[in-house]
Order: sequence, then structure tokens, then C-alpha cells
Amino acid sequence: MITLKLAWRSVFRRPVQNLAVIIGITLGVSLFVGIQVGSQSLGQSFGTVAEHSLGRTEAKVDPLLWDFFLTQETLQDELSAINPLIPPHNQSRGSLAYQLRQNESVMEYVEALTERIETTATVVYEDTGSIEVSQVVKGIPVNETGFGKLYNSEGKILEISSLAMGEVYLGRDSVSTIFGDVDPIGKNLTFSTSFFSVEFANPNSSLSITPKLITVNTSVRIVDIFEDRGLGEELFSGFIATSLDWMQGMYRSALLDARAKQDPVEKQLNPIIGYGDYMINTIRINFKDKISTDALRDVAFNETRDAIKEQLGGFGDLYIYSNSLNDIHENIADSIENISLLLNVFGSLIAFAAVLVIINIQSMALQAREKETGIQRAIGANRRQIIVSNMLESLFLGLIGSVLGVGGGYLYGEAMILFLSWSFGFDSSLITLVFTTDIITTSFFWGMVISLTTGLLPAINASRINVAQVLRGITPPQSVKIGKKSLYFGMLITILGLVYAYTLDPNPFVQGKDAFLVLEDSEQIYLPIALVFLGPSLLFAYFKSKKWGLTIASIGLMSWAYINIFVIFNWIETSNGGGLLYVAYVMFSLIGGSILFVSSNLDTLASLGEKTFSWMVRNRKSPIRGTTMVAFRQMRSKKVRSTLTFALFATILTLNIFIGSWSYSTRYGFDEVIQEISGNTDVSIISSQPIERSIGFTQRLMDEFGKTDREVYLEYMKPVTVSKISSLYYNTSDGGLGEFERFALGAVDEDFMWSDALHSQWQIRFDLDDNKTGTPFEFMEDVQGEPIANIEDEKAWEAALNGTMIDGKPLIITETIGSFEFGSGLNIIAVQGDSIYLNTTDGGLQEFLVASIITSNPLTSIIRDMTHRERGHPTGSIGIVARKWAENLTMFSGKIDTEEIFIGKSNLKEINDQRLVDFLLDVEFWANAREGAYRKETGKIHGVYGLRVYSIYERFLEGQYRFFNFLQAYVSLGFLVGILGLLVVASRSVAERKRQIGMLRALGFRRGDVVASVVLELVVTGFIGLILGIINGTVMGYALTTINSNGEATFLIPWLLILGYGALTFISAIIAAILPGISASRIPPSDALRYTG
Amino acid sequence: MEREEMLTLTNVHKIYNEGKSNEVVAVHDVNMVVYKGEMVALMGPSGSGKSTILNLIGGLTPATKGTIKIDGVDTNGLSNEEMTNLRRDRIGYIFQHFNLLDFLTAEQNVVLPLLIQGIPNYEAKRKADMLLRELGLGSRIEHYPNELSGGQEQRVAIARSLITTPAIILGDEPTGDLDQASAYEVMSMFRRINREQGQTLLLVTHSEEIGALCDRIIRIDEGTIVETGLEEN
Ligand SMILES: Nc1ncnc2c1ncn2[C@@H]1O[C@H](COP(=O)(O)OP(=O)(O)OP(=O)(O)O)[C@@H](O)[C@H]1O
Ligand SMILES: [Mg+2]
Repeated sequence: MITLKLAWRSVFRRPVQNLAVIIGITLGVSLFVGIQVGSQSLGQSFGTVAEHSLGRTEAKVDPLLWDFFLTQETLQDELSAINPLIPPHNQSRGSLAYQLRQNESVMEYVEALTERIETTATVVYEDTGSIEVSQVVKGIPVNETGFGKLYNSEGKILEISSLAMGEVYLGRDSVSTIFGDVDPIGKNLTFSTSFFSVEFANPNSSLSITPKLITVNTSVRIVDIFEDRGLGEELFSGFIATSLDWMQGMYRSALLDARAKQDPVEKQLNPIIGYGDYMINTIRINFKDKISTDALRDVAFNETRDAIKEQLGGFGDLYIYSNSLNDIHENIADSIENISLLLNVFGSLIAFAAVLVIINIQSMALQAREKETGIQRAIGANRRQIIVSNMLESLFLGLIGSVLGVGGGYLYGEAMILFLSWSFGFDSSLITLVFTTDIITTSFFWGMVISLTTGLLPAINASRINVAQVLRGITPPQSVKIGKKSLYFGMLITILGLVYAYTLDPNPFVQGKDAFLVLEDSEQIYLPIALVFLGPSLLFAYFKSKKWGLTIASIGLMSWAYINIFVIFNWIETSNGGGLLYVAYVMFSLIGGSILFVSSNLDTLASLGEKTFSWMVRNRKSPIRGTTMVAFRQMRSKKVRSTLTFALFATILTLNIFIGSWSYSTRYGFDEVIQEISGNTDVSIISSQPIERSIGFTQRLMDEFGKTDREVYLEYMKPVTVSKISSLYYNTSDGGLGEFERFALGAVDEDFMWSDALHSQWQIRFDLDDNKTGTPFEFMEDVQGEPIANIEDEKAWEAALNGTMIDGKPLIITETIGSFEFGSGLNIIAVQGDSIYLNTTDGGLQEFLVASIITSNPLTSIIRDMTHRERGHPTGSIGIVARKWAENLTMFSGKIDTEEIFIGKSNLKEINDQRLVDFLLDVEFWANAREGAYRKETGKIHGVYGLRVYSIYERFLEGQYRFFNFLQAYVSLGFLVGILGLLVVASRSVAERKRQIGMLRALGFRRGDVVASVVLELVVTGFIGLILGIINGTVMGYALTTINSNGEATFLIPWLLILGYGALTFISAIIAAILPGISASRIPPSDALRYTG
Repeated sequence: MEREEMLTLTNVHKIYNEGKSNEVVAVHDVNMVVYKGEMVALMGPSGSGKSTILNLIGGLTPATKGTIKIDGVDTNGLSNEEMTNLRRDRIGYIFQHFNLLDFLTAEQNVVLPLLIQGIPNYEAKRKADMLLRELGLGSRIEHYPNELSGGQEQRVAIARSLITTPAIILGDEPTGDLDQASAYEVMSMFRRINREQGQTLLLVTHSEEIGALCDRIIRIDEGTIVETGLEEN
């Protein structure tokens, strides 16, 4: 009872103190809760958003090549119509979807099934010439059920059935890109899309066919605009919706048209054939609700796939069957694991900062509490009573703090969700806040644990020590060295660590470098080795002093981290999954080690700082020197407090600067690489429809845009032919054959480039007739392999570009595949002299000899743009062969009399110069707009669009930015919490030293001097944290930039950001100190002198 | 006898927590003069208002009523900063309890007033060391307050009050924590500087013996002066 009273009293005896403790615990628990709520909600919302992006589509059938169409009149039927030797596929009429609907074994699982045409079109708004080349268009059946609906801004459902021929609905996302500020309703767009027909090379002998591109040009009218809403795929409004019937009709008449126009002889030899009445290119399936598990869905999916394959006969393999929902579940599981790991790593650091705040506040009560305990003991309270009463008090405070914290955490979680949806572009209504009892109980638990440990430990300590000493305010001297017991115990741990390290697999002692190759396996190496540093530090602690021991331990931790960053990280080949944990270890050792180092050497460092600072102000007549002495000495005397405070700064700043420099380097660090990779080109101009050579497009373009009196002008422009897509087969290291689905072939004239031997490295230069400045385009060959037959490297290049064959095989120059993919790990294994195979449209393979492999290639940007438009497939690479040769093969449809792609270089120095945007808009106006000069002259829209080379990478990096934005927001919230904590700590710590302030005032410190000393102290403490934060953060940023880009990105130090954080640190330190400083300096000194804490 | 007045208190009142239930009249209508070069003892029972009077003179707490003149300057007319400067330059303080800043060494405690006056570091250090040595603390220069005995602490505080050679030294029981021998030593030192430098001292003490060593004793009881020690009274 007495104890209860004691506890109750002390809660109210130090109301401000305890309020601060409660605030601290509230902050800490809020963080715990917020982080968990945030990362779990994030995980869930990824799933939800991904599922939403699928809409109700759970499985999908797509053509292998986008512009082929599924039909029940398969190619086989077409062939048999022409060639009586080929039997018809023999099936009844009706669409594939219709066929499927008749199939009971399929329909057993299927709820809804729809057939659509989904393709891309080039659309031009002719008033401005503004062009969108890869506008997604969906042809939707009028009677479609079971899938998404479209809503306009008034919430009205837009029915496909109410569209007349040539009328479309435009999605909100596409409005601004095409129309800018113009209201699109009622406006017309020039609409052009293309698809493949088939052309027989020799209809009488084989399946040797060539896909023939047929282009449809028409005009569409925009009837209404649909918004981002509703369930399903239609959630993302970046497309044009129109009726399937209209699209089918349009294609059919284009086909008939092409057939009619065909030359009669040609028609006899290579007739254009069509696909019949029901051409579609995608089927979407929604399974019945009872199929709720992934496993059941697998069964249903297999059943459906088999049925479709049967329908399609031998051509079933031309399609891709995706078990979409299950695939997404798998992908999501992977990425959620990574992301929540990341969030937890950062979250735990922020939480660590919060714990620092709480300990900080609790430690302030320490002396007061010790004295109080001393008095209680002096008047006869026993140890048990004291401990119990303190425990009750701590429990009480912890309870209040935790309850408030859970509430605060809920709000924090809400805030994170907002950040989330903002940074990832989610609809925030899709994100459900995950707020489970699990989260609440664990957070509660930790809140209580921290409250109890930080509150009770000092009391236990105090109850042990000499009462008389405590009452006099004397802290018993700590022993300088550690005891024998600690030494033995530590040594035991070290030895165990060593033994453990030796039994590791992979094992750095046995395998050396190789043990670190894959981070996921090697992460367990980190801790045992870190543990080994304990040994020497304990020896120092025993023989010299604890301080030495700590210093050695901290140096050990830091060096191990640095060894990892600067040496081991270079050995690492993959950077995903477990790697994150490894990186987290490194970060913890850096932060922990540096904090330990500074705090164990705080005296030395502070006196150094004091000397420097007083030297700087040595000639001042003002009281600044007195202020300096007070500030620095105060900091040194409150070692624990100062350590906790700078550690708080250090942790938060490390995180922020780490993320900042990493994202900054990812944002800008690739510029050089991009410039190099694109062979110094910066613009491509692409025509949606091939332009006849006779028009002389290049010349006209140069006449108009090559004038040097323009702000931005073209230095040169050169046509290339890029043939679409083939599969690339290559030899894998295990002797097998690997395949890339997307591989483009660029065909260039032999005068396009020439080779030039330069030392051991090959430099290939563009030799452009109209290269006015003579700037060489360079691209490097970095993979040296076996010579091809007897031809030397240099000759091999020339041979490849001249169309020479060796052993009947043409030569090809290829790019390293996946060289620019983050962590994709895709690399072509073929080296010079190896064979690779490209599939030809007759179903065969053509063998090529690799003349060379290059890493930089001016055609890269074009192929990347193409693959971007070819949605959803692995990005491929590009191979270069001689145009002369390429035209011999039917599969490479490059035509000698047309051009469609032009690459060039403007006068601008920087590849990311934004002035190129406007320049290219001018080009588009010139070519496409009704009033444009070229359009007027030729009377025809080719659909010319300009592409900044850099924009390809911008798109590529966009996802990264979003991620970084989110991380930045996430860790800035930590910064906010840090500042809040700091405010509490600073105000308490100033209040606590009122008496000193009174004395200083009595000695002649003006009010301003008092404030200055308090501010200076916190600023210096913050400065230490800032320095650590800058060093650790930059080093971590460097490490992650290097690993994450496989060393490709240049690490850039974000000076402005660091400056910003520096300023923020100073400002927050000043703010935190100045208010309590001023209020303390206002108290009449005599009152302040009476204050006893 | 024409003597210059160093400290003049006229009708000074100090009421703590005025108008509240815990109102305390600590000083009531005090009139008091200390002349230049005098060494005066202020004596009275515990709670009689001695410390309050020192605080009023030092400007550490404002008077409720009345005027306090220091060397002819009416402190009522001074701004907070002017008062602080006056205190810094002309008044030396020795407190009753917790005299030193515990995060500074003995030397640094003594040096501090000089630093805030703008005296160069080396000169301040030299002066402080000399003074501390004179006070027999030569071996304690680098010690922190909690490594000193109560008497040693008090001597450091005295050194600190003397270091700026202030015109007035206000001592709140400067010898209270000292044994008799040290107390006499300190008193003789006060006397020495009083003679040599003409400093004015106002010392609170409980000890009649110490009081007897001063030029005169002012007695106070329940906030009012009961004896000024001057012949006129
Ligand atoms: N800040 C304050 N608030 C309220 N009352 C005060 C304050 N300071 C002093 N007092 C009261 O004023 C009276 C005079 O106090 P003061 O400290 O001046 O006495 P003192 O003569 O110095 O006593 P001692 O010899 O014990 O030091 C006392 O009754 C005391 O309780
Ligand atoms: Mg007193």
C-alpha cells in the first residue's frame, strides 16, 4: 500500500518530467505501430492494386507476336484454301471464344469469357500535330459481361453499344498527352493501326510465309471521356475504348483493300490472305468464384489452355497463355517480401531513434531519481519497496504512453498510406489500413518493455549504491577496466564466433571471394565475422581501459563495414532478396560503430572542438568565449545525454542522406552511361508509316531543322532500318539453347560505320556524310573473344557490316543483352565466334556468327522504345547486320525503298536537355499538323514522332523514382519524429539546469548569453550527428548505387541535399534549444537558483 | 563624517507570491547603507531575509517596492541588460549553497567571469591560477567540484568572486562550510583585499565571531533591520 502511494505520488511529483516520458513512449510506440501498419498495408495494397490492374481477368491468351490475330480460321485453314494438299483444320464456324463456350470441361470453371482486340494505334490530333504513337486501343464486344465498366465524370456508365461506327471513348489519362488543354469531346483524331497478314513465299511447297504488315488509316471521333474508376482493368484510363465489331470490320476491309490492290502476278505467287470474320487477339477469362485458391485456379487454367490448344491445332504454340492472377500472386509475394524487408530495416532504425529519445528522457530523471531513492532509503524504505514503486510508476507511464502511441501509430499509418498512394500513384481508396490486434499487442509489449527497462534500471542501480554518496550527488567512480569475468565471457563468445565462422557454408575462409558471390547465401557470414572483433577489443578493455576497448570495437565494426562496401560489394553479382539484409547489417555496423566511436572518445573530440572553436573566437571581446566554454563543457559532462542526442541525429540523418544520395545517383548517375550507350545520339525521329526514300525525308528535315541559327538544331540525321522482332536463340553456358522472345535486328548500310583499331579496344565510329561538326559517335566493344575463322577482329567488323559470310553463315554484331537491366542478370553468353540463331518466319532457324559484342549502340534507344510499346514482354536486344544482307532473308522485312527510323544528334551538349522536348514538338507540328510545312507539301500524314533518347531511360527509371519518393517520404517522417523527440529532450534538459542558469546569470551572463550557450551546445551535438550522418549516409548511398546498378551508375554526392539536411539539423537544433533557453533565461536568477530539479 | 555611500537601500520591500495564499513578506521597509571600503556583516536568524537582501542588491530578484542604489546608480532605472552588466563588472557573488558549476573545473569556474568580461584567455587563466594558489588550491586547479571538499568548493567560489576585482562582494555565508581555522583565514583574506584594494564587502553570517571581524554588523529580524551598527542609531 505504501509502495503504491509512493509510486502514485512520484507520478505527480514530477509532472513535467513524466509528461516528457509519456510523450517519448508515445512517439516510440507510434513508430512501432506506424511502421507495421504502413508496411503491412503496403504489402496488401500492392496485391490489391495488382489484382485491380487485372480487373476480373484471371487468365489470358495473347498472341506471341502482338499483331497476329486469333481466329478459328487458323492459318491451317487459310493454307488449305489455297493448297489442296493441306487438309483443312476442320472445325465448325464461330469464334474461338464461341468454341470455348461450347466446351463443357472448360465452362465448368469459367464464369465469364470475353474476346477482344487490344492493340496500339498511332493517333494524331491534326490541329497541333501532337502525336501519340503507342496509344492502347481496346475493341470491346457490345455484349460483354463479367468484366470492367467505363464511367464518365458524372458517374454514368458509358455503353459500348451506344457508339456509332468510328466513335470512341477516350480515357482520362490519355487526354492531356494528346490534347493538352483542348476539350477533346467532339474532336476527331487521325487513327492508324496495323496488323500482320501473311504472305506466302511459295504457297505450293511449304509453310514458308512472311508476315505482311497491313496498315489501317481512319479517323475517329471522341464521344466522351471515361475516368479512373470502377473495378477492373478499366481502372487505368490510359486507353481508347471502342467497339470490337467496328475494329473487326475496319481490319477486314483493309485486308480486302490490300488484296484488291495487289499486283495480279504477285497475287498469284504471294497472295495476301485474311483471317476471317472473327479476328481477335486476346481472350480473357474470369473463373467461377468457387475457385478461390491458387491451386484450383491452376487446374482450371490447364484445362482451358488445353482446350484452346486443341482448337488451334498445331498453331496453339503461337500463343501465350497466362495464368495471370496466380502469376501476379507470385510476383507480389516476391516484391512484398523485399519491400517489407526494406521498410522493416529502415523502420527499425527509425524505431531505434525513438528508443534513443525515450532513454534520453528517462536518463534525465536519473540523478533526481537517484537522489530521491537515496532519501527514501535514508528514511527507511527497503530496496524491494523502492523497486516496486518505481516499477509501478514505469508501468503507469508506459501504459499511458502505449495507449496514446497506438492511436498515434494509427494516424502515422494513415499518413504513410497517403504517401504510398501519392508516390506509387495508387488510388488511396484501394489501400486498406492493416491494423491488427497483433500489431497492437506487440507494440504495447515493446512500449512496456522499454518503459520498464529505461525507468527501472536506474532505480535498481540507485537502490544499490551508497546512500550517503547519492545524497551528496556523487556518482561513484566507474572502474576503468573490465573484470576478469567479463574478459573470459567475451573471449568465449569470440571463440564461438570463430568456430561458427569456420563452419559456415559458403565459407570465406575456404572459398575466399566466391563465398560472397551471392549475397543471399552469404549474409550469414557477416555477423560471425563482426563478432570476431570482440576479442581484441576485450583484451584492450582488460589491459588498457574500457574506453580503449570500446574504441577498438567501434573501429572493428566500422572497418568491417567499409571492407564490405569498398571490396566485397564489388565481388557481388546479385543484389536482391537476402542481399538487403546483408546491406542492413552493414548499415547497422556503420551507424553503431561510428556512434560508439564518437561516444567513447567524446572527451577528446569535444575538447578538440572546444579548442578549435575558442581559437576561432579568441579575439572576441564579447562573452562568446565564456559561452563556448559553458556549452562544450556542459556537453562533455552530460556524456550519456549528448551521446543519445547526437546518436539520434546520426541515425536519422544517415537514413535520410543514404536514401537521398542513392536516389539522386539513380536519377542522374546514369546520364553518362546513357550518353555512351546511345553512341552519343540524342534524338530519334520515327515515322509510324514507312516513308519512301524518294521523298528524301532526311534532306527535308535537315533543311528545316539543321539551320544553325536555331537555338536547337540538328547536327546530323541518318536513316536506319530496324526490322521487328524475332526470337534470339543463343548457346547457354550449360551447353543448351536459351531463347529471348524479343530481339530486333538493325540493318544498316555498309557506309554507316567503319571500324578503327585503337590499341586493344575496338572503337566503332559512325561515318556520317552530314556530320557537320565531325563529332565522332563512338561505341565500344568490350568483350574480346575468339577470332572468327581466320579473320581478325577488325576485319570481322567490316565483314559483318558488308554482309560477308563465313562457312555459309552471315555475321552479326550484337549487344550484351540485359546490360541495362537492374539486377536482371541477363547477359548474352555468346562471345565472338559463337553461333546464335534467329527464327525465321518459315519456322526455321538461321544461324549467325557473332562478329562482335558491343555494349554501346546508337540503336539501343529505338529498340527500347519498341519493346516498351510491345508491352509485357522481356526487353530484348538488338543485333546489327548489313542492310544488303538482311534484305536477302524474307523474315527481315526491311525494304530498300522505304525508311522509317532516323537517328541523330542535336547541338545540345547534355543528353537530358529539356529543350529537346519543344524541339521535337516543332518537328511533330512540321510533319503532322494540318498547317505544318512538310504535311502541306506532301499532303500525307506519316505520323512522324520525335523521341528523345533520354526519355527511354526516364521511363525506365520512373518506377525507381516512385519507389525512392516513397522511401524518402518514409524516412523523412522519421526525421520529423526525431525533431519532435529532440524538442522534448531539449526542453527537459534545459529546465533541469535552471539552477545553473541562475548561477550563470548571477555571474553576469546576459539572457542572450544563456540562450547562446544552450543553443550552441545542442548545435554542436547536432553537428556531430550531422557529420556522422553525412559520412555514413553517403557511404551507404555509394554502396547501394554501386550494387544496384552493377557498377554502371556514377555515384553522385547530392551536395544540395546534404546542405539542406545540414541546415535542417542546425535549424531544428536551434529551435529545440531556443524556446526552452529563452524561457529559462527569463526566470529571475534568484528563483532559478532555488531550483533543485 | 563624510563617507561615500556604496550601497543604499531606501524603503525596500520584498513580498514573495504577492496576493497569493502563500504570500511571504521577506523584507519589510528596509533602509540600509553600506559605505565604500566598508566590510559589513549582515546577521539575523534563519529565514529573516538575509539572502533576499543580497539577491535584491545583486539584481537577481526585483524589489517589490523601494529603491536600491549601487555606487550612486539607482538600479530601478536599469534595464535587464544594464543590470547584468553592472553585476558582471562590479559585483562579486558568493552563494550560500551549490556555489560552483559542476561541469567546470575549479580553474574554469574562476576563469568564467573574466571570459564573459572579454579578458583574453591566457590572461584570465594566469590570474585565476594565481588566485587559486593564493587560496591554497594550487593542487586542485583541474578538479571538478564533486572532487572537492565543501570548504575547498567555498574557497573556489570566493576566488571566483574576487577574480574580477569587483567593487562590491556579496557573500552569503561564505565561511559557513569552513572549519574555524579556514574561516579565519578566509576572513583575513577578505580583510586584506578590503584594505589593499578598497573593496566593499557585505557578508551574511551566523557566527558572532566572524561578525566581530567586520567593521560593523547590520542585524535583521523578520525582514526588518533591527540594528544598523552605526553610531547615529
Ligand atoms: N522564492 C521565494 N519564494 C517564496 N518565499 C521565499 C522565497 N525566497 C525566500 N522566501 C522566504 O522569504 C523569507 C526569507 O528568506 P531568506 O532566504 O532571505 O532567509 P535567510 O535569512 O537567508 O535565511 P537562512 O539563514 O536560513 O539562509 C523566508 O521565510 C523564506 O521562506
Ligand atoms: Mg540565506
